[in-house]
Order: sequence, then structure tokens, then C-alpha cells
Amino acid sequence: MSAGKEVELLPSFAVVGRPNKGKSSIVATLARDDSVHIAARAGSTRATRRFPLQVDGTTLYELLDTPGMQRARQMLAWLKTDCTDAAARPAAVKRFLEAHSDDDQFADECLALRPIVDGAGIIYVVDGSVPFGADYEAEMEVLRWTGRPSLALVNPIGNSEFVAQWSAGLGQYFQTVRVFDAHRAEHGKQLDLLTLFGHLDPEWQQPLQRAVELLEADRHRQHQEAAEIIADLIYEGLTFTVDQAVPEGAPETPVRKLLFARYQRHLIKRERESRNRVEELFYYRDLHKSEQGIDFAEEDLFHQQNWYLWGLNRRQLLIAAGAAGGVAGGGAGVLVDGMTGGLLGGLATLAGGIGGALASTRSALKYSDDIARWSVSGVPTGGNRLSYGPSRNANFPFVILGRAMQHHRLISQRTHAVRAALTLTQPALDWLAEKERRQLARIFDSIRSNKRVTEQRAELKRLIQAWCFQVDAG
Amino acid sequence: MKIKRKGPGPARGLMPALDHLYRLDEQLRSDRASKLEDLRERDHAIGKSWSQAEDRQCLMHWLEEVNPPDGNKAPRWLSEAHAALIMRLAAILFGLLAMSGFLLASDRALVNVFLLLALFVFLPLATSLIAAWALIRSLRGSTASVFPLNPARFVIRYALPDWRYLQESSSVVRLLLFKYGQEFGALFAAGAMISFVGLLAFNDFSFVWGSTFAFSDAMVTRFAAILALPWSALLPSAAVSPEIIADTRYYATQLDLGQISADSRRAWWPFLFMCLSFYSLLPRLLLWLLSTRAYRNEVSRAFLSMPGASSVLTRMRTPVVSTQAADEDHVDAQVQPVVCEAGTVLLEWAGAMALASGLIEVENSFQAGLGSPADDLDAIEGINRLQPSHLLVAVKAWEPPMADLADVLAEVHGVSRCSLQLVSLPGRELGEASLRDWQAFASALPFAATALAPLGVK
Repeated sequence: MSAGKEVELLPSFAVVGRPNKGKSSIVATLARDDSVHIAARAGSTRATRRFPLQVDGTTLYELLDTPGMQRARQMLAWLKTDCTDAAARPAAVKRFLEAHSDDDQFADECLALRPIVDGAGIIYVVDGSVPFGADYEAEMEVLRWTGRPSLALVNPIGNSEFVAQWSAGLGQYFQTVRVFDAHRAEHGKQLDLLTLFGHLDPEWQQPLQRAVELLEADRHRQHQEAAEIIADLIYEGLTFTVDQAVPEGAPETPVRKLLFARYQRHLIKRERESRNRVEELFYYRDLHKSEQGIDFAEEDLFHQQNWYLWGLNRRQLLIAAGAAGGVAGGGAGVLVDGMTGGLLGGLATLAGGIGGALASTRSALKYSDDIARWSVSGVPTGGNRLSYGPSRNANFPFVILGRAMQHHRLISQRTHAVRAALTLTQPALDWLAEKERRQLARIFDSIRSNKRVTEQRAELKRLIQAWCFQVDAG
Repeated sequence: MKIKRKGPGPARGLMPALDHLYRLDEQLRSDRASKLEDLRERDHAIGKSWSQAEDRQCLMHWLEEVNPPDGNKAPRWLSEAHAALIMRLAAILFGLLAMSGFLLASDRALVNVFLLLALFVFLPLATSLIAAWALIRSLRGSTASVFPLNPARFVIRYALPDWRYLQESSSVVRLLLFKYGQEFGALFAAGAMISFVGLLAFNDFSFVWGSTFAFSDAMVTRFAAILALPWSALLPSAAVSPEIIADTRYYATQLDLGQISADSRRAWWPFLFMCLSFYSLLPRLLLWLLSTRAYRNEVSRAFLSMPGASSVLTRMRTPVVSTQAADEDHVDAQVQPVVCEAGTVLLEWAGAMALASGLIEVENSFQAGLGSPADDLDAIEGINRLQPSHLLVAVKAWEPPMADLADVLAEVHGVSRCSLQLVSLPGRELGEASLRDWQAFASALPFAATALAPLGVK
């Protein structure tokens, strides 16, 4: 196949419509590109931008973000005077573009229609929150004149009050009409729309289907990597320690302050790095530059008053810790019962279980106000070594998990068209089942006690991965 | 993303070792600072030819490509193999010395069978059982403590590629320590057995038994029969008969050994040799084989479960999908300088330009308000030396005007015009109260003309 033929067969879709009707939002969402300039004022897109879907350098399809059409009535009038034969309408549009290629007056129309005349499919975008008007019919008519396969998208910007009206109106001009909220469309809906694009032309079906499969695989990879990043962050939060030598006779208080600040700074930095990584995974390049950024105050990680919002509340925490301790103690009891050949009649298991549950609950209560533990050890050359960490607070890993999962959830559900702040709307770990809380408490306990760390880390990653995938499963 | 240099070749069939774990950890840590986009392209490019390979091979190949062994690194004066060889020879030597010392130190060449069994059979057997328990614990992921005088620690010192503590490799190191420990134990037992046989060939030792406890002949016969149970059917000559046991009973007060026949006195050695083989050497060999296998499995497992390794494998096998704009002319990313004036000098106060980089383009700029007062003095001197016609002072609009800044500006001379550039937080408007505060502050500055301008960040 020649290169020229390849280019000819490449499916491309020109997103067209009036200015400020959400064309760029739709492109930003489908192209997963937050660098698309979405402005509150009309006519902000001044040139056609191409968004190719490339797989290992090979383009499968291309989205084209075009400037809004503003003089459709004048253009239609020109076309009508130039052509009276229905069969010659596409040629008339071509003639219009040639005649006005240097005309500033029709610059936007030329830019919008050029790719369509060159073979692109039409994605016509309207705003479903404003009423349908007859004045739109001129641009729809112009698009019909091009003779290209077309699809209309009703983008309800703000509300969907007039969606039904638009659906009825657009149905007269376009083969397919769909409602697509660029700001709220889940990943599945985005893929459905791409599949629909493939149906506009039989030749486009296969590459679009392949594109959808690849995007699904890419999404899977994103969740997998995000889970690994979050699991690593939690592990670090559970095991991180700072220490400092204190010379003999020197006061401990300033060193304690310094170590605590160092401990906080390190974990805040690691949390920030992990978040940036997750954002990068989901192709957010400019999130920190967007209008509001993320409204996750970093110091909140050490703001214990907020912990019950991010992590578990006191009741949930005590149940989880008690259950984890009970299982561990019961396990040891089973061993004793086994070794005595059942002579104790299961008493060891019972006692171990109760003892473990009590010890764990007591520990959870005891360390509930401290993030980590202070320890002092002697230095042979004189003085002491003061260390802070690792964390003994039962809620701390849940807090890190809650914050990270909430961030992942918001990032992965957010479309690239959204420019608003990420805000916490509900307690971060409310969706965790009781059984999962207990499982997590056991994993955190094992990591703290340095037991089967590799297995526990793998298990933690597996759990987080499953929760990450659940985001798309709804 | 640049690949360091081409590795030595394909990693097919290669087993990871401790060095691979350390290199993998080093690479994964350095990758944290790289852009994901670059990592995806790099890893997928490497993974293209290895998509069908199993995880371990894939990752080994990847590691050889991105972080091959450092050929320029000076070798240590003592390698792991050399240290292990030294310790192996030492183990054999100690075995030889221990047994020969025990036998040769026996009074009148009389060897108490009980004592020999206690020192060279039961003690090693007990340590083997402890080692087996520790191995099981290690395999189950618990941290078993290591005896500080374990000779294998010497080899481990030279087995570790560097002095970093790597949490992910701790189980591997534990098993390596274990493997060497069992090997040295087996060699010690082998040395003792060689010494036992060698000395018996040239010396006339008498094996007798006796104890301050009142053991009867029948009890010792039963005890010897139990010990010989594993081999008595196959090697009846390596078992001790009741007659020999009765004949070789010895009392400390017994001076005349004439009652014990010469045959009976030497009849114990096949039994003792088999005891040494079966209860001292064999458990060590089994533990050594088991720990060698466990070590290999653990290295492989640790290699694949290294944090970040599964992401590498995913990236290697997933095509690089890109949907973003082909061009780089991001409107948002383009920062147009708001102020661009020749001869103007910028004084950035307290890092205000961090949120407005690129909005002011000047040849000379100074920073103050963040470091020590000496740093502020440097900035003042710099401005006074240049004596610009127009001084821009970038300040954080959301912060109140500070006397600290007024003090610094009071020291500036030869500047006729000063403009305070108020930098706002992204997405936030400059509040009216803040503006009034800054206006009041500007009016009090000692310049001929003072202006106030908001420097918006879009």
C-alpha cells in the first residue's frame, strides 16, 4: 500500500459547530489532552489542531478541533447562487473554499470545512442547555452540502434542559444524534462514542474498533501502575523512619522538632510525587496550571482532626484493628492447640483470639494521638540516637490510602475538559467493606511487624488494583 | 529517554542474582524522576522483541538494556567466590582439627562413644534442626535472627554489591546466609569424618562406653539399635550387637582393659561413621540443597516483586498509545511576557515570580526577602550599581505589604521610577482590601514616581 493511499484511508473526524459550544471540550475529553485551550469566551480556537491516536507511531484515526463557524448564512447564500444541482453540492463547497482561501472574512469557515472536504467525517457539536434555533439550520445545511458522513453531539453545558428539542432538530440533518457530556462522560461512554464514529463509514469500523481495544488496554495499564504507586506510598508511610544523633548533654526538644519536621516533609513530598505520577499516568500535564488546581491541602496528611474524613472513623478503626489482632492471636492459638494434639480443646485458639483482639484494640487506642513512635538508643561514642518512626498509628496508613484512592478516583473519573478544582465530597474510605478494612488492618500490621513483607505488599497492591479497576466498573 | 548502553547480550535463561536486585532497585528509583511518557516509549521499544518471553526473562533483558553492569567499577580485593572458598577450606580444616583433637586428646586412646556422639552427632543434629526451623520461618516470610558469629556473615559482606540496605532483598540475603551456613556445616562434618577415618587407619583407638548415669546394657543396646535403624537393614555390619555393647562397657576406675577384646574395642567405628554420616552430614546436605533451591526461587521472586517491576513489564507489553495533540502550540502553555522593557531591573520579593514565571522579561533581576539579610544587601548593591531608570518589584498580592520590603527599598538609590507588580494566585482575583494596602504602601516609597500594576496569572 502506498503512503498516499494510507493517508486517504486514515479515518479523521472534524469537530465543528458554532463558537463556544464545547467543541474543544469534546476534543479534550476524547483526546485525553488537558492542553486543549477551553475558554469561557467565544471564538478562542483560532486554528485547526490535530489530535491523532497513535499506536507505536502508527496513526489509527485523527480528531480535528476546528474554529467555530460564524458566517454560515452568508456562506450558504453563496453556495446556493453557485450551485442548483444537488449532485454538485460537494463540488460547490470545494469551490467556495478555493474562492475564499485568502478571505479573512471566511477564515474560520475555511478552516472548519477544509478537512471535511478532504475526507474527514463530521462531528457537529451543539449546546443542549440552550434552545434550538432556526438560525442553526444554515450551518447544518452547509455541512449537509459537503456530503460527508456525519454525527451530531448534544453537549449539555451546565444543564440538559433543551436536549430533547435539539435531538429532534438535529435528526433531520444528521445520520446519528447522541448526547455527550464532555465534562462528565465516563471512560466507557467515551469508548462507545469512538465505536460510533467507526460506524459512520464501513471502512473506518476496523481501525476504530482497534483503537477502542487499545485504549481499553491503556486504561488497564494506567490503573495497574497507579495501584503500584499507591501501594508503594503506603509502604513508605508505614516504614519510614528518621533519626539524628544527640550529643551528650544537648537538649532533645529542638532535635525532636527537627526530626518531626523532617518526617512530615519527607512523607508530604512522597505523597506529592505519587500524586503527580498518577496525574501523569492519566495524561494530565497541566493540572497544576489549571484554573483551580487540586484542592487537596498537603498539610492535611498530618492534620489529625481531618483523619477521620480521609481514613477510618474511630469505630471502624477499632473493629478493624481488633479483628486483625484477633485473627493473628487466634492463628498462634491454633498452632498451640495443634502442637498439644487438641488436648486443650481449642482453648488456646480462643484465648489467643481474644488476647490478640484486646492487644490490637489497646494498641490502636494507645497510639491514636501519635503518628509515629519516638525511640532513643545509646551511641557507643557517647550521646544518644533519637529516632522518629516507623508509624504505629493504626489510622495513618488508612489516611494515606484514603487520600491516594480519592485522588485516583477523581483523576481517573475526571475528563480532560474539566478545569474545576478537585474537591472532597465524601469521606474517602466510605466505600470500603468491613471485610476489606479488616484485611487491610492485617496487612498493615504484618508490614509494621516486618512479617511476610513481600507477600503483604503484593497483596496490598492486588487489593488496590482491584479498587482502581472498580472505578471504571462503576 | 536514553538507554545507558547496549547490554552484553540477550538474557535468555539467565537467572537473577543479588547484583541484579540492586541494579534493578537503582534503575527503578532513578526512573521515578523520569517522565512517564519517556519511560513508556523506552520500555515498549525494549519489550517489542520480548513480548512472548516470560516475566523474568523480559525483566532481565530490560535491565541489561537500561542498566548494564558497570564495567568501569573497580573489582573488590576479595570477591564473594574467594571469600566462600576461604570459608569452605576453613570449615574442612576446623572439622579435621576438631575430630583429630578430640580423638588424640583421649586418655589411653580410649574414646567414650557417648561423648563422641554428643559432640559430633547430637550437637550438629540439634543445630540442623534449629536451622531447619529457621529455614521454614524464612520461607514463610518471617525474619529469623542470625547468630552474630555465623561464619557465613563473612561471605555475605562480599556478596552484597554495595552497602545499601535493600528491604526488598532482605529475604534473599537471609537465604544466601543460610545456604552458605549449611554448606560450611556440611564441610565441617565432612572434615570431621575424614579425620575420623584417617586417624583410625593409623591409630589403635578403643571405643568404649560408660556414664555416671546408671545405664544398663539393655538400654544402650536399644539406644544404639534406634540410632542404627535407618541403615541396619542394608548395612548390618554398621550396627552394634548386644555382645559388643556388653563387652565395651567401661568404668573410670577400671585400669585393666584386658577383659575387653581388641575386636570389640574397634567394633564401634562403622556404627559411629554411619552416625556421623546420617545425623551430622546428611541433614546439612539436605538443608544446603533445600536452601540453594529456596535461594534461587527467592531471588527470582524478589526480582519480579520489586516495587515498580510490574509496571515496567506492563509498559513493555502495552503499545504506546498517544491521543494528544500533535503540535506543541498549547495555548495555555504559552506564556507571553507582560512586561518587556529594556533597561528595566526586576526585584523579586519572597519568590513571588514562582507563580508568574515568564511574565516579566528583563536583562537583570535580583531576589530578596527569602534568604538572610546579607542576601538582601547583595540585591540592593546590585540594583544600586546598575541604577536602572525603572525598577520592577514583584510581590505576592495576597500577602500584606511588609516593613521588611520597605526597608530594602529605602536602601535603593538612583532609581527614579518604581513599579510594584502584584502577582495573584492562579485563578484568584486581587482583593480590593489587598489592593488598598499595597496602594498605601507604594505611596510611601521613596521614589520620584511609583506605580502599582497587577500581574495576572491566567
